[in-house]
Amino acid sequence: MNIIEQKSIHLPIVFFMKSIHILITLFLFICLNACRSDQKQIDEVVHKPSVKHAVGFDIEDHKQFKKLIITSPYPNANQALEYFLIPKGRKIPEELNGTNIIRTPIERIVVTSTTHIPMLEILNVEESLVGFPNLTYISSKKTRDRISKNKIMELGNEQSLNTEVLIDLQPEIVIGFAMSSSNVYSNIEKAGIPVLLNGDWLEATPLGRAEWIKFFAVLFNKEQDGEFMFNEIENQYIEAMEIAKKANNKPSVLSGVLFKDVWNLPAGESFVAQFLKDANTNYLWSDSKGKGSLSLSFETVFTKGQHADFWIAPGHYTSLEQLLNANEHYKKFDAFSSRNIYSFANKTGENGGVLYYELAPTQPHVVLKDIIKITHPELLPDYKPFFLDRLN
Amino acid sequence: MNKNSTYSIKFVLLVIGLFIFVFINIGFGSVDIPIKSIFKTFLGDSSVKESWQYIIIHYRLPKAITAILVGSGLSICGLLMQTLFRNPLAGPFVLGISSGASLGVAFLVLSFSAFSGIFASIAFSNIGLAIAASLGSLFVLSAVMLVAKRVKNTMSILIIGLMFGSFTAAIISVLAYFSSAESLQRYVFWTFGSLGNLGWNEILILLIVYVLCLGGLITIIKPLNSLLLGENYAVSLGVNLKRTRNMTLLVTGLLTGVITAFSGPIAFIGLAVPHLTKLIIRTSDHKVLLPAVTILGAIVMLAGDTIAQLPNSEYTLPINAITSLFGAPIIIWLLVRKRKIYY
Amino acid sequence: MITENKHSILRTEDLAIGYRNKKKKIVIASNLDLSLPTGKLVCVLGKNGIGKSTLLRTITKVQPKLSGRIFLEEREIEQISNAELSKKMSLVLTERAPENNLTVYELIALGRQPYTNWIGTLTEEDHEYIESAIDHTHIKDLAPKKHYELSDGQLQKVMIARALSQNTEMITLDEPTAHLDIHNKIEIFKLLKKLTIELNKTILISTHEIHIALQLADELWLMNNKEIITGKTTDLVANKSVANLFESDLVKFNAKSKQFIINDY
Repeated sequence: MNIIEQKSIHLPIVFFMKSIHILITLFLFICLNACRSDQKQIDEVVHKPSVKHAVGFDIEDHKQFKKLIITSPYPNANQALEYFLIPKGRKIPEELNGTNIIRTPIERIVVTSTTHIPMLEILNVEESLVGFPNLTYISSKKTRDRISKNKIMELGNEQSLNTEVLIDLQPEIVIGFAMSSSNVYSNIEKAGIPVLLNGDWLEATPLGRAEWIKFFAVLFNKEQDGEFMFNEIENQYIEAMEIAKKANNKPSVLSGVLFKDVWNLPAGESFVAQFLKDANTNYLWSDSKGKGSLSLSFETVFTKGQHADFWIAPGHYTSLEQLLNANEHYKKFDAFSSRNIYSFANKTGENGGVLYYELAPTQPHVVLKDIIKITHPELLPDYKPFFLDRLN
Repeated sequence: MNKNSTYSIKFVLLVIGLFIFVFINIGFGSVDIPIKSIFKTFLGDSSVKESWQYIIIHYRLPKAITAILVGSGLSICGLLMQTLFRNPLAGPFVLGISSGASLGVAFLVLSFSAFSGIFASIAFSNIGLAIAASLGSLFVLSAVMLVAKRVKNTMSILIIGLMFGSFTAAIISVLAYFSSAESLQRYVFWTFGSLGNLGWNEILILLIVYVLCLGGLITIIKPLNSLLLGENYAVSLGVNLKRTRNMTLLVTGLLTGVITAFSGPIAFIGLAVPHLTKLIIRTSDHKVLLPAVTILGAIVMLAGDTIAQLPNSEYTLPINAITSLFGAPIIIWLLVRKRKIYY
Repeated sequence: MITENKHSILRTEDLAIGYRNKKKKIVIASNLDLSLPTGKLVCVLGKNGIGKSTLLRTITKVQPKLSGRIFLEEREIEQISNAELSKKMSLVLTERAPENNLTVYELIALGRQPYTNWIGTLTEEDHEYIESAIDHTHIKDLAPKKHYELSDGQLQKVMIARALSQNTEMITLDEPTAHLDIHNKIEIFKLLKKLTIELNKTILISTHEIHIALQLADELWLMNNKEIITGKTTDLVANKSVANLFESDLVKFNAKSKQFIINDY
C-alpha cells in the first residue's frame, strides 16, 4: 500500500474521532447549559409589552410567568408593589413561593371604581365582575343589565367594603384604590383574596391613564387585545392633537366653580389641564404646580378669569340659572354672558351617574375632540361632542 | 359721674376701632388693590379697573357688612346666654341651634348625594342651604322651647340644649358614613363658615331679622340687669321671669339661626367676645355692655375675616379656623393677666 | 292666739303652703290665718326645716301657694301684678348672687327698677332714694366698691340698702344675718327696728337669732309642725309659747332673762 492509500484509510477514522470529540464537547456544553438555563429562563424577559405613557405600572413577560409592577399604588408611594401572574394549571416555580401570586386568567373579579368597568368591557371580560360598592353610580348599560339580573353583588362603601359579603363572594381578585399607605383592605387579604391597588387616577396624562387597559388585559391573559385597543385610542388621540395644532388662535379657558368662599379649579399638571393643553387652548392656570386642584379666593379667580373666552367644567351645575342662584357674581364673567360655559355634568346615565367620570379615562380621544370642537369649532365641522354640553 | 366719662372714652375708642377695621377689611384682600383705587371706587370714579370696582363694591363691601352683622349678632346672643344661664361657658350655640342648622344642611347635602335633578340644584344652591339650615335650627329651637315650658329650672334648659346638640351630631355622623366623598366635602365646607357668599338680597334679610331682634332685645335690658342678682330677686323687682326668658331665647334663637343659615356655624365669637368686652369695660350693666359687645363683636369678626383672606396670597382660610385659632389664646392670655371672670 | 286686727298690711286666710310636683302635694303647713301688723318688726322663729323660708316665699309670691288666700292691703295677692307688687314688697335673701362687676351704688340702684323707665334710667328722685338708703345703712364708704370686693356682712347691708331704696312698705328678710358676726347681727336688727319706727316700714324677718328677736321684735310668729302661733313678744314669752318651741332636755328657757340656757344635770 502506498501513503495516499494509507492516509485515505486514516481520514475517515480521524474524522469520526473528531466528530465524536465535537459531539461529546457539544453534549457536555449542552448539559452544562441546561443546568444553568433553568435559572436563566426565570430571569429572562422574553417579550416586554411596551407601557409607553403610563408611569404608574409596568409589565414584564418572563417565560413562565408575568410580573406586574405597580409603581404608584397610592400618592407619594416610595415602594413599588410586585405581583407574579402565573397561568392556572402551571406549576408555581419554587423561587416564587411566598410572593404575591395571581393565577390567570381571572374569572371572578371585584372592582371598586366606575372607571374600571369600561376597561373590563373594552376587553370583553365584563361578565367576570361579581361585586362592586355603590352599584347606583354605574352608568354602563351592559353592566346595569347584569345588575338588574342580580349578577353583581352590592358591596357597600368603597372605603369600607362589606367584608363578610365580599369574602363570601369568593372573587379571585379585588381591584381597589388607596389614598395613602394605610391598608383598608387588610381584612380581605388576610382571607386569602389578593388585592391589587389601582393607581390609574394618579396618572398625569390622559394617554397614561387609558393605558391601564393593559393592566387589566394582563390579568385576563388578553394582552394582545389590550394593546390593540390602546393603540387605537392612542392613534385617535394623537390625530386629534395634530388637528388641534392647526388652529389659528388659542382661546383662554377658565374652569372650576366657587363653593362658599373657595374657588376650586384644576391645577396645571392635572388631568383636565392636560386635555386643555393638548387641545391647543390657553388654560389660565396651566403653569400652576400640582396634579390635583387648587383652592383659590374669588378675587384672584375673578381678576384673572373674568374675560376668559371659555369656561369649561363649572363643577356640578347643569344650567345657567343654577349657577346664578348659587352666586350672583358668576354673571360678571364674560363666558357667562356670551354663553360659552360647557359642562360634563349634563350627560348622565340611567341612575344619574355622570358619564364623564365613568368613561373619560378609557375615551380620552373623545374628551379631547369634544374640547377641540368647542374651542376650535372650525377644525371638526361634523363632530358632535359626547361628554361636554353647553350650559343654558 | 367719673364712671360715665370712662365709659365714654372707651366707647369712642371702640367706635374709632370699628371704622379702622372696616377700612382694613375692605382694603386688604387676595388681590392687591391700591388704597387710592378703593377711595376712587367709592367716590364713583369709573377710571378704576372694572374687575377691581366689582370686587370692591360687590364682593368686599357685602363681606364687610356681613362680618359686622354676624360678629355683633353672635356676640349679643352670647352675652344673652351667659346672663340668662349665669354660666360663663354659655354661647349662642348652647340651645342646640348650630347643631340644628348642621342637621338641616346635613340632610340636604348628605342624603341627597345619590340623586340629581331638582334635588341637586336645591342642594347646591345657597338659598337651599340657608333654608335647610333655618328649618333645622327652628326645629331644634322649638323643641328646646317646648321643653323649657315644662321645666322650671333654667339650668336644665342649658343641659337640654347641649343634649340636643349631641343627638343631632350623632345623626349627622350616621348620614356622613353613608355619603359619597364629594357630598362629605361639601358638608364639611359648609361647617367651615363663610362670610363672603351673601348677595345683597340675603344681606337685606339678615339685616331685617337683626333689627327685629334688636327691638326685642331692648325690652329686656332692664330685666337682664335684675337677673344679675338671681331669679328670686329679679321676681321681687317685678320682672316677669317667663316673659324675659322666652324673649331672650327667642331673640337668641332667631338671630343665631339666621346667621348660621347664611354663614354657617361660626364658632367661638359668641362665647369669647362678651368676656373680652367685660375685661375691657369692667361693668355688668347691660345698658353699657350690650352696645360695647355689639361693636367689639363687629371688630373681632372684621379682623378675623381680614386674616382669613390671607392678603396678597391666592389662598384663603376658613373663617372658623381663624376665630378659634386666634381667639382661644387671646382669652387665655387675658385671663392669666386679669385673673378672674365676673358676670 | 289671736292678734289685734287693726291695720294689717298683710293677711292670710286658711293658707296652705308647700310644694306641688306633678301629682303629689307636699303640705308644709295649712290652715294658716296670719296677720302682719303695719309698722311692726315681726320675727318668724322655728326649728330648722320647719318651713320658714317656704312661708316667706309664699307670702311674697315668689312661690305659689297650695290653697287659701293671701291679702295685701285687702287685695288678693293673685290679682296684683308682679310689677305693682314690687312697689309694695321687697326682699332680702340669704343667697349670694354670683360675683359680678356691679358697684355698690349700682346694686342699690337696682332697687329702683320698679319705678324706672323701660331702659332703667335713674332720675333725680331715684338718686335721692339711693342716697337715703345708703345713709340709713351707714355704708357710704362702700359705695364705689364692686360686688366681688365685699365681705358677706357688707354685702348683706348693701342688700338691705337695696331693699330700702325700693321704697316699699313691707320688707321681708329670710335669715339675713346668717353669716354675720355678733356685732353685725345686732347692727342690722337695730337698723331694721329703726326703720319700723322712723319710716313706719313693716318688717317680716325669719331668723335663728332668738335672743335678739326676743329683745327687739314687736311680734313673733312661732312655727312648729302643727301650727303657727302668733302674738306680741311679751305675751308669747309669758304664756310659755316661746319656751315650748325649743325646750328639750338639752335646753331650758328662762323667762325672766328671756334666754335659752343649757340644761345642767
